[in-house]
Amino acid sequence: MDSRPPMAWLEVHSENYFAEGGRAVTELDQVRQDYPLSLHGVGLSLGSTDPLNREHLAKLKAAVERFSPMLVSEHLCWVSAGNSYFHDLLPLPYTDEALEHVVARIAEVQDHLGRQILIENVSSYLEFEHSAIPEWEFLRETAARSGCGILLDVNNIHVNAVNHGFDARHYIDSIPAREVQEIHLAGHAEKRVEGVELLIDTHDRPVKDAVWELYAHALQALGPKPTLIEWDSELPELPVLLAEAIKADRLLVHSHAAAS
Amino acid sequence: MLPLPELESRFGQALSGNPVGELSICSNGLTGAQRLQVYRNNMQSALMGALRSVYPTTERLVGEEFFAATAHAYAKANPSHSGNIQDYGGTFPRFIHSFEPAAALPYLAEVAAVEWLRLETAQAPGHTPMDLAALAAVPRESQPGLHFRRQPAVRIFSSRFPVLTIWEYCQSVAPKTQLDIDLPGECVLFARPALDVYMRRLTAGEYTLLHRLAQDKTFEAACLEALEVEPGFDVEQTFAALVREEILTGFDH
Repeated sequence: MDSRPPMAWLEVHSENYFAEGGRAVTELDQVRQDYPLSLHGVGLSLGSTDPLNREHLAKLKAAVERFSPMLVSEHLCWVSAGNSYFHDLLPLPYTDEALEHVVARIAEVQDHLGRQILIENVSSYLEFEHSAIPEWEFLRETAARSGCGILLDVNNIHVNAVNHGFDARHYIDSIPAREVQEIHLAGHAEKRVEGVELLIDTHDRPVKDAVWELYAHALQALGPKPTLIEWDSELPELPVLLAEAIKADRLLVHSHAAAS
Repeated sequence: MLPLPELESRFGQALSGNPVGELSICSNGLTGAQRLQVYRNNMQSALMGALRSVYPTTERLVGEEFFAATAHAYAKANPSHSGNIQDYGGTFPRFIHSFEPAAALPYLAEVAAVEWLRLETAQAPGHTPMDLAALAAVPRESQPGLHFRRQPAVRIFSSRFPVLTIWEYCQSVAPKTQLDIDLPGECVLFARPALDVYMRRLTAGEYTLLHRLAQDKTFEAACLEALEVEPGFDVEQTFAALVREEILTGFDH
């Protein structure tokens, strides 16, 4: 960060800045003076039927007050049950029951924080038999009913399209452009289990060609959106990361030009 | 149809390796168990990663394989209870202490305790130094009755092993000499003068003083106890050093 690369904004995991003092939060205070910030949470467990974790929410609120982020986001999933946390983004069944539950929780969080949050679609490796609503409708309805915005993860859409056999472009075309305030891109791993291909969201490698193509489609369908490349393990040298960001920027600029 | 609370409860049990009832997962080429395994792997690697990042010195002492086995046994018996993974692993030192395969390394649990205390110190709230003018304004006869506050990041630890010496030894890239773990035990101070964790050895008297001050004893009572464990204890010099190092940062009457 000392070289102050020319980035439009930065995103960090909210939980990594829950500490009350120390190096991490102090450095983020400084970074915040030079860049707009997005706080991206993984632990609020919005889809869990456990009571909302008030302590976690209070820490998130403290971080929001300290860093004044331009965006605050969480995931459309659950991560805890019976007060045990599994530290993975677990899939909901797409039912009216789950939709009502998650909409109420998001509304509660937004009320508490006094601001809108964005909700991100997650990668999943299984579906429930009683899911009655397609994922894209579930996401769209979550935003429409709770008033939250959407953080559309294009890699997760591709991963799920392959894992569960649906049309990724149709998914994107079903999302109202005005709700989408941010896009995520990331790398994923291709695994073969018993001869069946399963894509796993890993954030540890470059974005795949199929996802770049889908991103170009998303920009066409949704218009230009702030885009972040998630790469949070097996980090390469900064130039490699910047090259990925520049690639996304080119597509963005291109879509800007096409739109005007 | 499985109600959501029941589905999440069963799913969670299944991730923790306990037998559960039906989860109504679509097979679609793979069994429900195979699909669940992806999530179980993710969860385990998240917990392993958290322990590895907090306990690198413990890992260095026993090697990757032994550490992984220990961490795995710990994770199995100790679910996370926080949505912030950085909170995970505080009871790992206690677990190591009673972990049979580690019984031959009695100092291991104490080195792990040092690593957890470093994390607590690193994340504690900040402080401002002692207001020396306010302290100077306290009448001399009232000074023994003062209650001193410690910097919020301060932790102290008394070990029957040379635990800081072992910790320091492990930080060197290629240790030249062999370490003698039969050295006397050490008391360790953890503090955060600015952004980084600072550690040093405490004498028995300093340890007792800081320990008693934390229990809200008066300065006089704490000093008397320090003198009991360390007959030559120099109250004035020690106090001046603790203020200068910003270990003591405030006082109440």
